[in-house]
Amino acid sequence: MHDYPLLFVIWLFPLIGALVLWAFGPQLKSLGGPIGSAMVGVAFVAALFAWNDATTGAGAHQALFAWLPQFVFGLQWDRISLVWTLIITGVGFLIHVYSIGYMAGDHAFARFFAYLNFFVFAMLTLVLSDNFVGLLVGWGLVGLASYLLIGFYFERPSAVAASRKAFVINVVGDIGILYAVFVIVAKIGAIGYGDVFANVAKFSPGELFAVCLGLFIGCAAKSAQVPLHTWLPDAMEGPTPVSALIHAATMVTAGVYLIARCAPLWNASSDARVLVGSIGALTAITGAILGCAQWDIKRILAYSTMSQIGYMIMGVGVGAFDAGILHFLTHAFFKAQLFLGAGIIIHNLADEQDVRKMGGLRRKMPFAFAAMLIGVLSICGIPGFSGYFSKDAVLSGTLAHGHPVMWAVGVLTAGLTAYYMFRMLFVTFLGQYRGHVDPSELGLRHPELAGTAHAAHAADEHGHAHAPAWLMSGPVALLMIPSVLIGWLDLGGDASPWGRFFEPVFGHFEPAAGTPPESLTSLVVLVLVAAGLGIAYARYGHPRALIEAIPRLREETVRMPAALTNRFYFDTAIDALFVRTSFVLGRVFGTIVDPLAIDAGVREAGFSAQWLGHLFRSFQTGLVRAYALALAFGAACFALYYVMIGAGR
Amino acid sequence: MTVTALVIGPILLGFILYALPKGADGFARGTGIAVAALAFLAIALKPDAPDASVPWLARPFTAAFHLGYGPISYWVVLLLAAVIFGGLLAVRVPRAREFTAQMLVLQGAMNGVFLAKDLLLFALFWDLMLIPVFLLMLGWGMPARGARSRGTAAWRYLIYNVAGGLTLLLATAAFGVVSGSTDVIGAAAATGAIGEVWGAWIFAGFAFAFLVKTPVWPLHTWMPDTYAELPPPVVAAVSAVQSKAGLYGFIVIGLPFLTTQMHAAAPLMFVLGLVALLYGAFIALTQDDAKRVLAYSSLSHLGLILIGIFSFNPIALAGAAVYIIAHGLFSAAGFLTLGYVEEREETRSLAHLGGLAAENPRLCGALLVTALGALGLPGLAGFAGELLILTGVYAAGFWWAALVALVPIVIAAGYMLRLFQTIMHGPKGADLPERHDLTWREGLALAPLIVGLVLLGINPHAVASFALTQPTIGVTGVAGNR
Amino acid sequence: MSPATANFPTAADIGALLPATIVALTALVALFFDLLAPAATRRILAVLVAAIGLAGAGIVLALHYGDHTVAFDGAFVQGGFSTVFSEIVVIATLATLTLGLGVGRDDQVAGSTALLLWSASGAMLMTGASNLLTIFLGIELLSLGLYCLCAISTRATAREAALKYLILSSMASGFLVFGMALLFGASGSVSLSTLAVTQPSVLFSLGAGLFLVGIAFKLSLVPFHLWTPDVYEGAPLAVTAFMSVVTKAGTLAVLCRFAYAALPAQTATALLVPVWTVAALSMLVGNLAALAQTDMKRLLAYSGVAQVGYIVAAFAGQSAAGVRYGIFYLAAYTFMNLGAFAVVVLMSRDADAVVGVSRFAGLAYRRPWLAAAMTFFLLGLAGLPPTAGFTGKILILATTVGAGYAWLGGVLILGTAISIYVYLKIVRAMFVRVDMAHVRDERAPGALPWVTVALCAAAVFVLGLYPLTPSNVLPLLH
Repeated sequence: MHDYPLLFVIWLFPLIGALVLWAFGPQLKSLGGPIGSAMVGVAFVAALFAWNDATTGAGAHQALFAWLPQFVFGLQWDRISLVWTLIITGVGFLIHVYSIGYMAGDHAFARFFAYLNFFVFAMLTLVLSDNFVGLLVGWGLVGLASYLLIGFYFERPSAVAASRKAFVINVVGDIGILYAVFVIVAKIGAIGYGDVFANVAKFSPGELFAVCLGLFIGCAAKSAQVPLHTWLPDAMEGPTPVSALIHAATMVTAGVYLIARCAPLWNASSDARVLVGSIGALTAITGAILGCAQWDIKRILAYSTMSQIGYMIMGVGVGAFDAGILHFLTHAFFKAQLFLGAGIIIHNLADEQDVRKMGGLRRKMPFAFAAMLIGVLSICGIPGFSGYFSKDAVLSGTLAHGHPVMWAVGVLTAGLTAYYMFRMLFVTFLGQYRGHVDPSELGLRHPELAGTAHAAHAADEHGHAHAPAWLMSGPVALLMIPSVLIGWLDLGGDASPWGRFFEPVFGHFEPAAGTPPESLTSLVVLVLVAAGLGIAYARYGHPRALIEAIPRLREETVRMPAALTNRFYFDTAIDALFVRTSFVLGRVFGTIVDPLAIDAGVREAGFSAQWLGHLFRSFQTGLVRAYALALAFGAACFALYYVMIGAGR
Repeated sequence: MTVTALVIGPILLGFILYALPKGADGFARGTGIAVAALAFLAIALKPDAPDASVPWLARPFTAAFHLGYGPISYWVVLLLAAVIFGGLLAVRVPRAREFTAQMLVLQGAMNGVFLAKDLLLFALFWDLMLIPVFLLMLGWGMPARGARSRGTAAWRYLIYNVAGGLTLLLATAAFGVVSGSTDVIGAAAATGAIGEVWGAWIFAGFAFAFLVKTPVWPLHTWMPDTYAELPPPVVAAVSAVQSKAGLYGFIVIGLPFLTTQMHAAAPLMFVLGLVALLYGAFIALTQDDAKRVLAYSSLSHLGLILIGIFSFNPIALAGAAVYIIAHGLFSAAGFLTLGYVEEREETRSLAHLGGLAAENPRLCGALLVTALGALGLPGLAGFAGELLILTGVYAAGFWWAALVALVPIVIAAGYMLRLFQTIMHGPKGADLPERHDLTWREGLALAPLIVGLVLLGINPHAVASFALTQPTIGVTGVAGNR
Repeated sequence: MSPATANFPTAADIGALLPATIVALTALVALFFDLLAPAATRRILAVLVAAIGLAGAGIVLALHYGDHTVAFDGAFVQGGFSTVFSEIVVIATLATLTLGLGVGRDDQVAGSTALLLWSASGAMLMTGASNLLTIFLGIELLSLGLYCLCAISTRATAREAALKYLILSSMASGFLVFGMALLFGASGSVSLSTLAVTQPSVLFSLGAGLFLVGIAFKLSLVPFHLWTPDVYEGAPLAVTAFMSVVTKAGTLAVLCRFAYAALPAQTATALLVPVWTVAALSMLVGNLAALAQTDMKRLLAYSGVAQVGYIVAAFAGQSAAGVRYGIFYLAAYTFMNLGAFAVVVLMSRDADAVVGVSRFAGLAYRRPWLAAAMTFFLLGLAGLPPTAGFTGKILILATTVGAGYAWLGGVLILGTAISIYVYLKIVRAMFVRVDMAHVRDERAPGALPWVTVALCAAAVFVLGLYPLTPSNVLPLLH
């Protein structure tokens, strides 16, 4: 396959930006933002130029280098990488621009953009490389970028802890992929996607499942699947644009990318399909339930992200790859938009994130309201909005691949989603502004209140040198268009542009016989969504509810079930099982085994030598007769021996 | 010529510096830096320097002063030159003249160990390189507050390593008697003519020496104290290069000449290696002395190399070579950086340190890169090594070992971030003095190491490729057909 | 040959004995000059004369190097390895004289020097002695001088030590003579060459055993070593240095000749087992006991015990190479040991001073060069590179293992391991930073020992790099 240097432009420009900003950040000052954005913009344009080469035939390829004959590296440019690249650079560009406004005046302005550019580069490495190790490199580097950005406010202990948690859990994912690589190299003797997928047959079923499992552990960690999801809510410690770009639109969907990329493996292993599909479903419902119990606006969005990724994983897991990717696409837009909208609110409320202290913002910030509203409508799958199409595609795909239970869970999740998203919307925008209300009246002394805790810190973190408003509102406005319309691509099922786009990749799929018609199933979904919306309205949106909002919120805060406030004890369990155990082991080894068991032996040897030395010294009485005696004794021994020898002859 | 100069030159200069008058500290230091830099250039620019060989013994076995580059040793001496350069450039010590002299002798001796193509010469330098470290630790050791007195750690270091050196000596003598010549390292046609009778004993002698030097659990207890007390430049050299001598020995002596014994010992070595991996990692999680964290992490990482070597798989061997260099790079950089931290804050106790990033962004960056290298971040050299080693181990059929060896990678992320974040992040620790950020000297000292870390991480082919042409790799062939 | 044909002494006989004779006569010359010389110049004069004499003897030896003459009807063999042994003796004596510029007070120097020279000539006699009588002659000539030299110091302990030495030594000589008598009885001859062909018998083997007891005592091998530390401690530094090298050189020559040339082939192996055993014991006990010493001279005494053990181990299995490497290590040991003694001398005001190990504390920061030199010699004694000690040890290891005495090699390594503590304990003391306040620093009057130090260091280094193993340098055994 002939080389394709254009990929270097797409791939390396963000890296260059990152290096320049990292090296000269202090000198560049406020120029850092524009430069960073430009770099990503260039990559985006280049990707657009390269569109056709990705869609013609098997796409383009750029060889790089080889470590060893088994480890050959290169870049690959096909439909899947195209879609992801466009989202990463496109949405990435918008968020960069947004950040210029959001981060204005931050003392580490340039450093922020350096990290952001570095993330884009890492993510591109992930989606462009043509082999598993290259993917793993990208996989690790995005983890690093996310770590750096979560811990961006490193004076804040909670941020530091969150970043470490995120990184370590992601490493757990990395080693899963590592193990998959071992098996692949040992079996195939190559790491390139092409070679591996061409020889799937070489794997024994056990090995194939091992590979899929390993890869999926990676996905679970990166894409916040149960039980490795606990880092995502904490990751909201990062600045809001980061949450939008990394922890909503792009990085967390890397799992979806990996599974879609490895479609041949999943097609070959039904066990893997069941496993991944059900984990996806489980994640979807868990995220949704926990989403109902949050008060921090960003955490609500975080859990919704987790739940939506659950959908995608479920989709690609069961084999409805194009559906899963479509949901990734739509989600990238509307979730980014939601976060950026939330960002505007947080920005203008001096980093207040607790929805209970908001309320009535519809008049204060009409634009933010519009943005959030569209986002919510889309994520809830209200017909006509993009979310509707993609979610519908996933659900029907699940059913079509013969997993009714997952479908049911998905439908239930859809209902819950409608409930908690509208709950957020109503509590935030309707009624009276509660920013001045005494927190105690809202029941805010509850231990489980992340978000509000650090608002005070954050306020002084970046003083408000307000940048022109359009810098923040512009990108959001631009995002509204696709988050409404992008879904229409899927209109018409397999015949749709979307279906045709991916047919060469995933092939054509005939739904299992007896699958109920899509119209019927989506009707069921709509009913549940309506129900969720209705309940939310009754509890938070109805005029009567709004009047007694404060006592109601207070009551709800206090009455929140422990299981929910403790997020189903996932963190507690992980902490007790792994973290604490490791530290205990370390202390035992370090303070008991090492000095007392192992080292003791050596010290004893030393002492005994000394002791023997003194023993022999004690023979030195200085008395001649003693010496003479010893001499005689020795002589006697000699004599004895020699007599025996002589006699022996 | 070049190779001889690499060994003799530093040693001679060391003694000359020792002879200089007391005042000549600055000059001595400059000379040392220049020598290291020259050595680096000489190695880098002339990778095909011919061997130098002078006959030595005729009986009881033939031996020669035979020095020359080998596939691994070339990179090791290059690394060593960089480390010595950085160490002398960056860190300020009292009595710099004597210090520099000792460092140069150390460099020469270590070059000798790795460039020796004659087993007897190898043994000679092996023992020789202990002395400067011992003296440096006596003269410049920096024990942590409340630690045992200076003598103790130095003593412990010496006793362990000399014990190893002596078994090495005995084994070498026996080797010479049995095979008739010790001028064998890297010989094209590996004799392998060590009979079954002697083989076991000879191997035992070598193995003990190598395991102590590395060190491998449970022979490691000299190491934490030593690493904690040695001044940064020395510990950088010791952990980066000296600790590799044993592993290097296994590769260049064990694999070709004691193949059968190596295979026989493989199960034991696997157990020791895996134990070291986990044991070191867990302890590193809980240490308070920053340098001890790195020390125990070394214990863990070197265990990985050990199982890599003993899986007799080309990929794993390549990985071992890569990781030998990689570990050298990040551990040297790490110890130097911690040295900077200690120099600024006058403590290396994690309980007292904290929040340096705010005033020292460059220092923070340096520590971050080294920490990431150590925890095996994909894209840096450590990752390449780990990946190759474990792939080879798996391909050799030890799937369980590969699985177990994955756990420490997660723990490594834990303790390395703990180290980095406790020092750099969070609120600034109380009663810590305000100090300037990384100076250009300090930065220049780290630069070669960090660049190497990145380059080797992107494409380790240059270091790794030799393994494919290794004749006596053992039973298991290339990956795939097991 | 029959006694009738031999008309002693032929020119050949004289030529063979020439070196020893020169040394012996030089003593007389020294005494003679002492009568005439003014008081001020006595010391320098005596030493000078002695030096010239020794140098002459050395040159003669060198000239006769390699040729082989059996003198006095096989009583004395000149050439072969005896030449090398004699050279070592000469060099050691020379070095000894430079250490304290003679021994004792000015009015004693001439006498002490003469005694020293006579002892040396005794040792030289031993190196070539090839029948029992000559051996005994040599040993006694060597010892007699030493008895007096030990007593020369003014300290009371010196007298006591000398007496001890006298008593025990004569006891050992008793064993020696008795053994010789038995050997004579068994073989009907005193010449070693005839011993080698006699029929083994209880008489013979017992005789050999008692003979070896005497030798073991002179070599101060465990368990016949107990006198050594006390005597070394009591004697003046120079004398101690002399004993630690010359006595051993001479006696080793005898042992070597006896073990290689005087034992019937079929029984030799069995007969020598006790020798290797005591050698092994010496390596272990010597080093262990040295661990506990606080006085430098005692410590070196014990280290000497162990070092001789190493050398004897080289002879194990009577391999031709063994002699060579044994001699090589002896040479190495000579220089390392004399070097160490020279350093000790440089640290003490007078020859009688007691130098404790504690005196070395922080030496590296007060007298770096002295510390460096001492470190070098100690490294050598410990068998670490880059010294002749390292090379010598590996050569001995190789031969011992090659001759099938692997266990002896193992013991050697073990002993060395212990000795590392012994020697490097001092190195550590020198290099650890201490407050120098209470450390009293004595300096030797003359700078002459510095010359010895330098020469020894050079020798140790060069020998280490180029061990003189090929037979072109060390002759094969005759």
